[in-house]
Amino acid sequence: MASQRIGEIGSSESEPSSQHVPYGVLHGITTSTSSLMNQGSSFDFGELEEAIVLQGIKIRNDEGKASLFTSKPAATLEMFPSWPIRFQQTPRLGGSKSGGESTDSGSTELQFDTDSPISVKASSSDHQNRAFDQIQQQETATNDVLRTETSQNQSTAKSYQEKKKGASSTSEKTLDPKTLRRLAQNREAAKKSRLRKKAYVQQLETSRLRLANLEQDLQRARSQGLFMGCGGNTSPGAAIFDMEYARWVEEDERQLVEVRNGLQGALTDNELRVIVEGYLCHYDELFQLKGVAVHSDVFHLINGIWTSPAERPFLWIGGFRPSDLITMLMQQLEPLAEQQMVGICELRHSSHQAEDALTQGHEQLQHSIVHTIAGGPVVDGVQQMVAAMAKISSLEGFVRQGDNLRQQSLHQLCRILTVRQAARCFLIIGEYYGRLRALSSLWTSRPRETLITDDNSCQATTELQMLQPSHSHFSSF
Amino acid sequence: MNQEKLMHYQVDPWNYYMMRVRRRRMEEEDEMERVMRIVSESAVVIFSSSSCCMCHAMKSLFCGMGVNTMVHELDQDSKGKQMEKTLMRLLATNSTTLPVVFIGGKLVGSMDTLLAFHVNGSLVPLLKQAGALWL
Repeated sequence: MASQRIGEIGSSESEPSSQHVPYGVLHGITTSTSSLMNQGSSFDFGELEEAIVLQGIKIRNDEGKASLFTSKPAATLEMFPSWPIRFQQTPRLGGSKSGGESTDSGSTELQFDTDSPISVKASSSDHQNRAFDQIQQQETATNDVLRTETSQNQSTAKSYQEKKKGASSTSEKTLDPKTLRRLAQNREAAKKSRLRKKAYVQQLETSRLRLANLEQDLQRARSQGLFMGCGGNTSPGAAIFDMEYARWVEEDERQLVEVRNGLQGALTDNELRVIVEGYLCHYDELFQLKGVAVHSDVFHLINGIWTSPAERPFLWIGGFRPSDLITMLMQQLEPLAEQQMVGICELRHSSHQAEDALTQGHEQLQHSIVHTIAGGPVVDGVQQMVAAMAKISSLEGFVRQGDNLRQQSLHQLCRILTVRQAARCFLIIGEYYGRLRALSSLWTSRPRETLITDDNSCQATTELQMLQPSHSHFSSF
Repeated sequence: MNQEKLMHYQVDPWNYYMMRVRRRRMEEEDEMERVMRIVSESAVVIFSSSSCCMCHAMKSLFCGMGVNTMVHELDQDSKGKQMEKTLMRLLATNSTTLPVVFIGGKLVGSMDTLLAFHVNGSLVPLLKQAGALWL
């Protein structure tokens, strides 16, 4: 913009109307920095001012004089007549305007010549007040002010009127402090509301995206649900859990990226701690989810269909085995302090003991269920079923304790390790499971001799079921 | 005996009611005392049920740690039901909560709490303090 204007200066020197030249120069300078206005430049604007003023008066004086104190239909007309009287004020209006609203002025300044009152209607009273305020500031700051395009003045009819009134009561230069404050407040309010609007729009955009994602998820889950409904006896609780778990996995991948970026970037410990605690909460959510699911369908959790195929062999009472996870972590987190090493070994030891205890109890429960279902010498159907149902609720208790153990182990791990180590821990765990899932995808889509068609068109329904949720995990591979 | 109660109730219902409440309170206190007496007898006391598998798990846990525990099978106790109710009141819960463990005469809780204590490393010191574990 600035260069354009300055170029204009050079090219328009030969033009008859001299107002283009000062116009361009002024605008060029004002767009580059508004501070120039206050600093005072070596350029002598006095003559320019005069030139503009004279032109303005000549052109508009006749039309404008009559409407000196009326509210405008055409803002332009009002401004100019007062130029000779309020000489110093109007240009400031223009000057500040150009500083603040360069785009507006840019569009209208060229039309300075023409008679048409190009009131910049786009500017709201905020602009006017802002311009007004800036005027006053400049006035108080320095006398060296740019007199710029009158087109900008067109838009400030109202404030101009006020200014006139104010100025008429006092001297030209002093203004009501109340007005000053009010205008400053207006300016602030306008700024705030603009920011709020921007934030709201951004929020809308993100929620729109999220809605689209959710709908996609829902579609996918519905189609999956149909599949699995045909496949076996899936309870609604199980279907819901599968859906929620899939969402948890996606969230997990996102958190993993965050942790990875956090570790690679130069984050402070506090920021990293926030991320680590976020990840812990993420796991807590999973355990909460499982807590609900265990009540609605404990068999679904125990048989592990909700995990990827490669994870299933390592399942222990509906989830991972804490001591195994800790062993894996110990190998990866090699440089550990003595105290931490001791702490982790103790954790592994105690969780191992707890696992053994729960395993024993679980085995006894299984024997007992078998015994109950098989029935004794006296077979009483109803009684048998009631007893079996009671045992199943005990099974729920075991899955709950298993999850409790898993959750406590994770929390204790975070207590023992430093923040950076904890973050690396989560990274390792996340990557480990990501690879397991990728392995499952690979395995389900492996080429088989019996099939003539290509890899991905496996015909078995179960594999398709598995493929769909784990399809996204190829990316982590 | 029931006739007597009935007459008492008809004659002076409010007094009868207060009497019943008082008696129940006393019974509860007795039960509580009984429980407290039992738990102070040994360093680790488990209230369990012989058919409950989670109780079996808890017993195995202490066994695996080398801790001798005193096990009180409530389903084999004549006053088992009342004791169970007392325990439920102690744990401030409405659901059956067996097994419940006391260490050093103080309430620890059910399997949930016990596992949490064990994982965060506070169980072993507790046991040592109660004299149930030596190392």
